[in-house]
Amino acid sequence: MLSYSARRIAQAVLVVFAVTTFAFVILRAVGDPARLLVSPEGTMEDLQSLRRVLGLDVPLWQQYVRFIGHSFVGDFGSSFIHGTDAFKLVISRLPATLLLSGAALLIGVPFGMLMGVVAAVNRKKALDQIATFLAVIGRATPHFWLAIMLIMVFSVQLRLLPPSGYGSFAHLIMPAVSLGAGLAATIARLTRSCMLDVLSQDYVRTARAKGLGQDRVVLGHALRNALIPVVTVVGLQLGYLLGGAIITETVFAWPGIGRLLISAINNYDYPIVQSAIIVIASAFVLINVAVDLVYALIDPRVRYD
Amino acid sequence: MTDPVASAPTAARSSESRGISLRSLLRNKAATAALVYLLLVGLAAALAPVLPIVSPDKQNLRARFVAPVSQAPAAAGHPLGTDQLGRDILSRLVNGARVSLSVGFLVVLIAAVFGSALGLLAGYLGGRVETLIMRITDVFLAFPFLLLAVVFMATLGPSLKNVILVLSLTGWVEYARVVRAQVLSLRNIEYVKAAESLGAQAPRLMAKHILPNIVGPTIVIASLHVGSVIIAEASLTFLGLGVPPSVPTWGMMLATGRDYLAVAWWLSTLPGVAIVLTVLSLNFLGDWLRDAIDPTLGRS
Amino acid sequence: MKRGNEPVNRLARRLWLALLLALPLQALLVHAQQAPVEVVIGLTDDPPSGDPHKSRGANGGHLLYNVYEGLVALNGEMTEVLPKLATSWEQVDEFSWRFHLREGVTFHNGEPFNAEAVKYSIARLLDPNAVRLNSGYKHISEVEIVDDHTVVIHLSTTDPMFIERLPDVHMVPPVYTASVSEEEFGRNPVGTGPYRFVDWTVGDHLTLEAYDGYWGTKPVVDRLVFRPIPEVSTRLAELQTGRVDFITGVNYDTVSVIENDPSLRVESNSGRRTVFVHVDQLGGFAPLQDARVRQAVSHAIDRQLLIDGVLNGYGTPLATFFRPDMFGFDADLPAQAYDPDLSRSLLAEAGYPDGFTVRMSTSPTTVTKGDEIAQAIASMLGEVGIKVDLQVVSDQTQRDTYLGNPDKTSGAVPPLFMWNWGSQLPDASSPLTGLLRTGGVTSYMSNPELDALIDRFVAEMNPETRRAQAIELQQFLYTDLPVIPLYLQLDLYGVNERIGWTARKDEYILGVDMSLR
Repeated sequence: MLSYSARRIAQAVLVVFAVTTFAFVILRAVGDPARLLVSPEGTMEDLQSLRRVLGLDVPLWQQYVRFIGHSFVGDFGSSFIHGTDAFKLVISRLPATLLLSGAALLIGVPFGMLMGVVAAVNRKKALDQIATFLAVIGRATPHFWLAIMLIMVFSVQLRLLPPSGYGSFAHLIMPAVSLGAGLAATIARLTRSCMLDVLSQDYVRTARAKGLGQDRVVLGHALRNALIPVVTVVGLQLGYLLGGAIITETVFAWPGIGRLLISAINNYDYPIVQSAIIVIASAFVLINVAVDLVYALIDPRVRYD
Repeated sequence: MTDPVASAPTAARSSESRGISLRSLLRNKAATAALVYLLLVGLAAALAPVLPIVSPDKQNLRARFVAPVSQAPAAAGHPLGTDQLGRDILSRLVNGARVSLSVGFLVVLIAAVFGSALGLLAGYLGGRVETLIMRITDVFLAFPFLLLAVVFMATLGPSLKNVILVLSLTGWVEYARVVRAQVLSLRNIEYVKAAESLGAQAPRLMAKHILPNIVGPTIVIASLHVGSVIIAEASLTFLGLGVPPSVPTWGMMLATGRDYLAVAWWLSTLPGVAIVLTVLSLNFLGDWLRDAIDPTLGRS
Repeated sequence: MKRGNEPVNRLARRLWLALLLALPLQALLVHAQQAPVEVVIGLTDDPPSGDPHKSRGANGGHLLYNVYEGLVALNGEMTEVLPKLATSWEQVDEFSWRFHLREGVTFHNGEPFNAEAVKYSIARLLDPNAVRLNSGYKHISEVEIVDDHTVVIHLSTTDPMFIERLPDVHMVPPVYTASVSEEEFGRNPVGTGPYRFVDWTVGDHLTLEAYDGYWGTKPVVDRLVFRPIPEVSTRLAELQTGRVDFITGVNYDTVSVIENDPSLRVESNSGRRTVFVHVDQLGGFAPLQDARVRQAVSHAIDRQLLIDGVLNGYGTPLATFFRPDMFGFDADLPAQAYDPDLSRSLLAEAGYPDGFTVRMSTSPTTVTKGDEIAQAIASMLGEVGIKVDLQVVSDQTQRDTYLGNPDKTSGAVPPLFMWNWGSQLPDASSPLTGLLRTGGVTSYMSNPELDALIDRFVAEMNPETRRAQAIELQQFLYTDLPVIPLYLQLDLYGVNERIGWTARKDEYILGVDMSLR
């Protein structure tokens, strides 16, 4: 177990390195930031001198060597647009992103699992149909549409919650709900499906035959075994929550990493994009190492040699 | 934790006889309704070019934002109203179904087949193959989807083909991870071990004992995935990286209509409803299909 | 306040919020002392930087023009040059100007404003080893200090529009600026303007406060808070709920929502952005190299219908890319006429009776409603037989494709593309050199005669001669149509009725322009 963990973490470092390199190369295939920075009334010489100042006038491999060299001392460059330390800027957005992801998880996971369990236990009954219906609506409703609707109802019509911004609990409610809804839907469907699988398996039948009550069966065996795919998906979704809550953050003007990343991509602000990718990729990979280790804890059948 | 009880693979049989047949489908009202809806949409989509509706691109800048079922003279011929350029919403919905459904199903098919195959390999073979495949999925997942999409769409150019490519490229990972997790837990179940020790070959093992067990979760993911793909296409379109505007899609109607929600709710609500109904139907069908082929429930 | 104090700031804000919850107590406090007047402004995005020599765009300007000042300023309509940090100026000779500086002005950190500050600021702007927005100022050859409050600026070429360029040259405090890193300076700007910088959390808010030591009239509004709210519906909701007093980038079609709310109103100005379809004449697409075909394209477009049908009426049709406020604007030239029959006969005359297929690109944001405008144009061109293969790309792809394309003969760009020009100067010299003269960063044509005319116009010091050249240029643009002009785009703002304010042409929201009703 210990050597497995060590190996996984070493691999995680490699993955982050691969992602960073991949990002470095393809970003430069997309476009030339100097062209976005040059004044439209400027000349071709202005463009060339901008490239020189930004360090874009040397061959790609030299830029890469310089980038790696600087990364080792914690220097990921300054934002082309804002002129500030890119890594610090990304880190400064991390608390908002973590807060939002955490809140979405807190809404999505318990609610989703509860809906899934209720649906599975009441299979083919009204409760199951309702849960299914809600889950599908949750998954098929685009984030931005739900988010704008929440604003129109709870802010504009009812005047209950602030439409956007950051800083208080009231600000957190709508973004967390709109992000958590999709998550809950996904988890509910998966929990239901896995519960059904497990419930129909022989050892559960046996357990039932042994005279264990319905509740003990459901909680003791089925739920535990249904957890594996659920934990997998939570791990996957967390990566999405960290880096991909772009639309939610945009609609609610939430100062998280997703919004920073998309505007950096739009402006070809390489240093910010690279820093953000390193942060998101590291967080994601670490979470998934943790998820793999959690498998072993919740399912004794999974063994790591 | 109780140890899994050893049993022969064919031990349990449900009393109900199930299977993929019309009769078992008709017994499930939700699935029947779903199939009827999907067939209707599919038919309308397929026949869109010959249906007696105006062209989806026909603009009328003098009759914009006509509300659905409006009595206004401008509403004549527009039962579901018009959009911000005065184009007929019904026609755009029908023509949009064509593109959106093809994109949705194609992407899911590519992603599910490719992803499940890799997940199966990883979970069953283990060792280096597993490590390699799982680290590749890590790279894909750790790389923000949108960045990948932006990069590909920006370099390849906006077209329907490239949208399908980009969404497939990022969609297979979930199947691979879930299937692998499922295989991991199945591999150690006694009946599989027993079959293995009796000398069953790997392909046979996979086909007979493992594959049927991963079909359930895969179908569930796939049925939800279609909706995600349609919505992801909307996100790409919103970023200016989706299909060209000459191609109407539900996702595009949804994304561009949201700016007008304060004055014209129907622009993005109607395609939204179309998407939700489609995904709902796919779900009911998926559930039925899952039950029908679930090995533990037996096959007729 | 420094960025290093951020956790403290955040704590302070939390405490303040906790206080807010104790509303009755707060109400008492407010009554006890005169409440500071705070105005919250919802912007489309953050200002890029507080560094006046780097920052750009309207969002950058909202910060810069409240915090900094130049030697002179333009009035809101951009028709008149007003004294600012210079009280008066005169031309010494063709190449030099003398400025008399305002006395008793201090920067927000207490540094005095003087001739040294002018010299330092201009030298910083022209620094060749840094990212600087200095394309329009490279002809400044020397800043000569005559005495503490007099400078002479020497140019290497004649420039009839030199004074009009100066509002953008913001003055920075030499000692402070030199003592901190560029990064630090961009985050903690210090100027002489009516507002001083207080704090900034990128992505959330930026606060400015009226500067007590300001040399001019103290503004009525004590605090300006700028919030980046990218989503248009959200900005509108913030305005409707009264949490934001001011929004920019109002969707033309949701104006009725604001107008129907008695506590809100819409303000607009004709803005400075001219919208047109640019034509690539170098990429080898034969039909558009014929002026008759370009005329056919122009006459196929119903500009008034575009404005009424897509922009909800908020636009003015144009004859050329000359704006009415630009030097030498020819008011006698009518807007390009909509005449599809003429289009068809021009096409036939040019040898394309059945039209042709052409690629066109646009972005939804480079031009407001750029995708819808382009789709409407595509449909109008389709009516005369020109089939448009429309590509909608992102703003950055659009810029990356057209700005500084090193090989303009490659044909890599679509022959038609939606573009706009928002010249800060009330003069056509920047679009003329950037868009048309051979070698301009967005120039996709080469006409030596036109180049020569542009060069003369840009450097001509005699107003009458220059006016005649402007007319000649507009005649050429009107008939040759190197770019196909569409309209002047109006800027819309949603404003809370408690604030008195009228929109400026330069797109900036200034605290000094606001009053309370």
